Amino acid sequence: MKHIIKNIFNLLLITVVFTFFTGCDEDYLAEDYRDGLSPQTFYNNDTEAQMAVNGVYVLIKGSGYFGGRWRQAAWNFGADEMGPSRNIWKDVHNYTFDEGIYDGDQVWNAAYSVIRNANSVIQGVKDNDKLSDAIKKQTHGEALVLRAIAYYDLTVQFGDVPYFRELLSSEELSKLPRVSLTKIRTEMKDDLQEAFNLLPDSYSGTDLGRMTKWAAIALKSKFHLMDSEWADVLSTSENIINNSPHKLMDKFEDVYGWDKTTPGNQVKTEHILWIDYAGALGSGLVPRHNLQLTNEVNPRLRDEPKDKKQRNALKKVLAANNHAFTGFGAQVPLPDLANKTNWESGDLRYDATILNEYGGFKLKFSYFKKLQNLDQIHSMRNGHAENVVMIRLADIYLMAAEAANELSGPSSAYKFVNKVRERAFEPDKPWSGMTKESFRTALQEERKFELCAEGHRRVDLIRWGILLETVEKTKYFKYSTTKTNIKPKHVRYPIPLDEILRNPVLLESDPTNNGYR
Amino acid sequence: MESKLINLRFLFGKRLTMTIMKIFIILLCTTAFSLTPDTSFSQGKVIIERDQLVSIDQVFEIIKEQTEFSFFYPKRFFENTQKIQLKKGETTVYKLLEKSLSSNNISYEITEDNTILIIEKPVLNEVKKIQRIVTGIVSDETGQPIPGVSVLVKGTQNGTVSDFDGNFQLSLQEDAVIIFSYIGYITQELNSSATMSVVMKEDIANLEEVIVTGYGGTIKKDLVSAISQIKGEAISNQPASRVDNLLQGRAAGVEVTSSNGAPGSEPVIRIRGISSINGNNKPLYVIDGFIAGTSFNLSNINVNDIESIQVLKDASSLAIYGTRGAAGVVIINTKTGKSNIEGEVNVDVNHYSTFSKVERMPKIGDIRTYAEYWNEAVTFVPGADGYGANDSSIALPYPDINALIPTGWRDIVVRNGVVENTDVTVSGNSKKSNFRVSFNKWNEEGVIQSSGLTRHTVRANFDSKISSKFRTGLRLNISERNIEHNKISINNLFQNTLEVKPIYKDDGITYTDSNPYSASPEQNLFADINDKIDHSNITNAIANTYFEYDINDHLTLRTTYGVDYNWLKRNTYLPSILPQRLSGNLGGEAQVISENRKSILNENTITYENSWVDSSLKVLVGWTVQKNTAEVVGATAEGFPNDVVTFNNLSLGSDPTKNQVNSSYLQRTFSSILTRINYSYKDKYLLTFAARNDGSSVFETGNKYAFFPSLGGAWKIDQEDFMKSQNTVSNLKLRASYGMVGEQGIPAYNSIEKYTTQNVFFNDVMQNAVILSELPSKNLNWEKTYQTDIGLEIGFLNNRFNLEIDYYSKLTKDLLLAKPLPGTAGGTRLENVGEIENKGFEIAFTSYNIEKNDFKWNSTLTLSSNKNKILNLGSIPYINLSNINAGGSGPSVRLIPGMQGPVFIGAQYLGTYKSKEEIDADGMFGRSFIGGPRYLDVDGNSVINELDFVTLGSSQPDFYGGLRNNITYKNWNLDVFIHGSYGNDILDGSILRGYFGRGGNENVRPEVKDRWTAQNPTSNIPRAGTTAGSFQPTNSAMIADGSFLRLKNVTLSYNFKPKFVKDATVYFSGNNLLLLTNFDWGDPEASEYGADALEQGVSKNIYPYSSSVAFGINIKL
Repeated sequence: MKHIIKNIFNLLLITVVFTFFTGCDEDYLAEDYRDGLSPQTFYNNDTEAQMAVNGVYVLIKGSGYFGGRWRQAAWNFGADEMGPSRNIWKDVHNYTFDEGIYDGDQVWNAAYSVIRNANSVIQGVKDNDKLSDAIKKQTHGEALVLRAIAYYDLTVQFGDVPYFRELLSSEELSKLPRVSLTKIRTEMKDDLQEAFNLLPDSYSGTDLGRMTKWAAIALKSKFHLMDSEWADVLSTSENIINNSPHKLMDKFEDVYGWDKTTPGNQVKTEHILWIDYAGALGSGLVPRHNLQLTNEVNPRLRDEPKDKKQRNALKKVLAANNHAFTGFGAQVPLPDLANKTNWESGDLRYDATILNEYGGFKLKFSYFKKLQNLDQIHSMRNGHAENVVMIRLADIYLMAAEAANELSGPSSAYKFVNKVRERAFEPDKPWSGMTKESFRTALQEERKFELCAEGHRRVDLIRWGILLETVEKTKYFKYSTTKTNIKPKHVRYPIPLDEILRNPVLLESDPTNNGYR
Repeated sequence: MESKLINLRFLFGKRLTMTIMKIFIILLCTTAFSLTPDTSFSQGKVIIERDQLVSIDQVFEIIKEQTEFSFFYPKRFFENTQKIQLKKGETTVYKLLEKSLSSNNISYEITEDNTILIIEKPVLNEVKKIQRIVTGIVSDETGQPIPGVSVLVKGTQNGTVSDFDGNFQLSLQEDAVIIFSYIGYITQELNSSATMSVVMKEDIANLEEVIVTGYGGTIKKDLVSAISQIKGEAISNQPASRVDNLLQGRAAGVEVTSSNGAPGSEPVIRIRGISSINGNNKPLYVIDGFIAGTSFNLSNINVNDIESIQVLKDASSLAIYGTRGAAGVVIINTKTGKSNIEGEVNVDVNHYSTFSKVERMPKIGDIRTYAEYWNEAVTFVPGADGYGANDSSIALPYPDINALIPTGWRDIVVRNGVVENTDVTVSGNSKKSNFRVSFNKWNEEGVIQSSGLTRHTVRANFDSKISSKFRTGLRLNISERNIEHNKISINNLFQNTLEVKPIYKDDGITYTDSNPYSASPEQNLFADINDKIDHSNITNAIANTYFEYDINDHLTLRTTYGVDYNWLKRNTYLPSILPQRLSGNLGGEAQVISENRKSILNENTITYENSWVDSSLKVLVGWTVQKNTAEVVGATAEGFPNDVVTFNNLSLGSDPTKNQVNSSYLQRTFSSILTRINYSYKDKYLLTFAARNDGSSVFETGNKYAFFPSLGGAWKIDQEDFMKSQNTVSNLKLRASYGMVGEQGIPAYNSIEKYTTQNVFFNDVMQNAVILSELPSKNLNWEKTYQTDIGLEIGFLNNRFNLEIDYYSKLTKDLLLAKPLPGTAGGTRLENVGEIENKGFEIAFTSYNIEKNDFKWNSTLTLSSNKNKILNLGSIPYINLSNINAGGSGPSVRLIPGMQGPVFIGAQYLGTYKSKEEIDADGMFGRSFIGGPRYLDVDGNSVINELDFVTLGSSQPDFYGGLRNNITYKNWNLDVFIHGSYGNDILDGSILRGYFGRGGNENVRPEVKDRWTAQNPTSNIPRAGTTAGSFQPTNSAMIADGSFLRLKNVTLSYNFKPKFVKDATVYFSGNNLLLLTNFDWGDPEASEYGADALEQGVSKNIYPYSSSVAFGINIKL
């Protein structure tokens, strides 16, 4: 009897121990995700919609995209404006880029992350009753413009590219073929028209720097320009010129003139589509958009001045102005552009564009003064915060002039080009009496003087079909092999090698990969 | 979001399993209860805790204490009998009784209530047949008589025990065989003769030693699994702050590589190769029974507290750890008071001081080499013909080389390292309980200035027998560590800080701030050492309690409850006076990170143990739950106006737009059922079945559980009759096992769609933002490793030589791979594809070369070879791992199906271009130059890119091993340990920039002195200026032979007994005294990416290694 009681007690004990811990078992293995947000529970209110579209700005400003050096390099080097001050930037400037060798994969990846996130925003805000009408329209429009910037870059640099505008699974996204750039551009133009209708005229306060309806239509105009749709270029440009709040600034030197701005005060009335880097000062954990472009164009003291014995004297003058030469001094004007005699006499833009001396000291190199910021209070070496201007009004005027000339000859084009030249010359040197052809040639040069180093030139030369002949005529630094190496295929970049290896479908429509294999 | 969705099918399945388990347990219990002890002799375990000489009465006391038996016999029955020598270890009641009662006139009976009646044997008829009396003496090899040796006539109950002087007397029949046995000595069978002189040979291999297997233990000779054991004494007083460093070369199949020379750094440990790509390859640490995970910091445990380390390697031993066992398990048990003599309290004081100096600091070119190189490089131009020229009109960066003064940065930042280590231990043992408490202080100054580690460890272990049925105990370790992190960038030290850069600016006070060549802002190494604050305070408490209850003779219930708590606070402060902050007028920056990590583990097991005449059975079933959480809070503040409060008050950071806070929460839970069945037949054939049904929170509902079974068997061939007739082979065991273990391979929450939060500025104002994280994974399952192991254990000449050979073959399936997606999809996606295979040999050889009383010499050799092969990666052609040359060089480490994983890849470097013709023939005009690097253009398209990359080497050695020699002569002991690795390659990350000369802001390697120049046109070191600023592929010039042989440790100690103390030892220990290797950029043990990474053998920015000498003293009071 004693044994039986003992055994029962033992069994009870075991059962209790085991069931005590099994009670909570089913829930015990559930994932307890507490510290993050999920797209599935998002877009409940205006703030969430704005946070989501803000994310697309984070990506477009990122160091792989507008915040980095590679996009700038690819759009500026290898033409007749800009070269490296020393034996660097070889692959991009000397046309030795190839599959797997500076093939633009950074920008490619960044552009597609912009596109994926923009698609997600569009899906989240479109027809979402939880949002106010104003925010619904604004965030939708912003996402459309940001996505169009990415597709603009991709089609210009690579030609036909994978194209998608809705949320796809990662399997689907991994097997996308190249789509004709005609289709992509056509749909982007429609998107930008829609964005134009959705977006406000302008912003103020903490929204300054978001995409406006004028940014949308200016980008649409660029798309038309790439396709030589002159009537559309003209109509969109005129729309901006006539109806937007954007105005040409009085002085060319103020169009950039970053030294004279502070981070909260650098939005200029002439800028239409810009990537906002204001406030991006600092280091540490805050995701910073340390704009590398400014480092590239700011001089470095080690090179300057021409008479090295005067370096300390130069330093003193710089310091007195709260300035310093702390840049890489790497992206400099090519000799012909730096040479004032190659500019039309009296062109006021020369002194605002090119820096040959500082404080009376003759410099060894010439620099792009327009993009510099030597200010050591608001724009230190590791905290440059200058906005990156993609489209400004003078560009729109020149696009209008080009379109008008192509459509109906110089007579209807003068008013646009002369508006830009009015500011460039004192006294004015307006154009007149030109043929369509001579106007076209002159305008090609005019765009160089007005817009040099702003990322338009190489694309323009390719668009006009004169990249190779221009390179042939250009004088490069003696360490550059640009002329030796350039080939017709170089008007486009190859689809990045990693991309092809991971998605072989990309070779189906063009097994040569833009002529690179 | 529906993360707690419960799948009904899953629920039912789980419940069913639980129910079956419960029924099984109940059945087991009832079966056990129904067995009455008088039908089969119960063979309850008895543990002898130390060597002791006891009376037979005391033997019965021990049995009474540990079992349910009581004894009944006339008082003073054993008064005049010999004492019995008991050796430390595990034995059975049966054996003890046999030993105690082996006298020929005593026998015993067991009653129903477990009372053992001891009676005098009735005189048998055989007595009349006595034909002679045998007398003899039993002694050990040194001639000392051994009392208490069991002397038994084979095949009978007739026997006796040797007396105090080793004498015995026995009546027997003619031609009888006598068996002499004694714990700790080899059993001998001898033909009887009238007078016998028997020499007992010590069983030096001590196969009775207990090996901890996880959820229990077994003695070495009954082991079915492949488990390596390292005893605490082999590693005591080695100046190491963490024990994993000391595993190097001491356990076969365990590859240990130190990752760098920084104080407290975690070594890389791979047990039988890598078996996961995305998951974990680090062993699971089980400390005193607590599953502490794979990232438990072993700095928390004082090396001198360790009793033994077991490394579990095969499926049979690992399956009981289920999904966490695939990378091996390391079980660490700490010392207790059990080994003390009963009633005695020991106080042990130990101190050593270590002095170390940097060894093999990577060499850079001197200031002249550097300046000449860059003077030449900047003047390089394609020239008129386009094949390369130097243009003297270009200004030189260093026009006056003779005026340059080298700063000597590498000498300034290092110092001689020091370690002061003190241990104080108090331990005691009484009948019912034992305790051991210890205190340790470790104070280390690293060889780079201002780096170091201070540690205080307190440990308390106790065990108590509350009653004959109920036992409880505690293992508690609290450690408090302060790490002074290395303040300087090693990359700056080796690569970026130029000798032409002085410490101070011209004024002699202000630190220099930027790289003098590039003008890029750069930290000043000296300023970092002097002014930066960066330390971590870590408190770790790991406590495990157990309660054991003997339900009856056969059933034991054990419940453990344990907590591992880790609190970390890291404080960083960059003062406003640091040059890079001063130049930007940024003020100070403070960062504080606080981490709370907790793990709570409850394990419940029931053990059933029984044995019959020919067989024994041990069954373990258990259920365990574990919950790990991590809560992290971090905050950063900027713009501190002065450097007074530093990180102590973040609110003084004056720039609110840059201040930042973040916090996170992470949780993982496990719930498992486990079982193990050990069956032994005739003590010759052993069988073990072990399995775990594991559940983990990280998998989707429905995929949370997986079952991991294993089966192992052993055949003790030496127990077979045909082996008894020879003396050469004293131990022979063949064992084999097959089974499956798992690995989770994925992070928590990976099946949930997530946003990453970010900040963005609009017009100088910060706003919140979210971006899509990587897309969630679906339908993922566990990685499964199937392992076959065949082992052979041979002992020769009374186990004087012991050889253990293992062959294993591991196949890992359903690898969780992060498939790299094209940029259109972004990032990676986890898939259950891919297979890896590991095959290898392990040899452990122990030899007792000399075993004399005052001269002992033994050697231990381990040799291991593992061949790893990636069988397939699903649809993925290959996976690129971290790239040491990020930017402009292509990938450098890759996983490729059909090859070892991972391999180094790159272009084949062919030397320099010597002629125009060569350049033209390669189609490289305009892109490469005479004297420029030439690579093999595999696809012949005149472009050198990733498509021309070939396999260049692998970090995995052909074999590796260690040799330990321990020599004792009188009071002296010398321990020499050599460790080596053969056939591994190293990817030398300094080559691409230092040898190919990529930028003037970086140091060059010394050998570029002999580069290609017009005067030295045969050189294969590239010409200055031909490589800077353009794509240069990772290439074969970066691959170096990483084989090495290292005199890892030499310890010499002298033991003496001064007055007033029980015992004292003084010792000297030298570490890393000699290294033979061809590798020249630092130490060949290179782990750029640390212990977690797959890509090992990469060397670039590694905290330098040192060699050291230690002096110590150990006093027992």
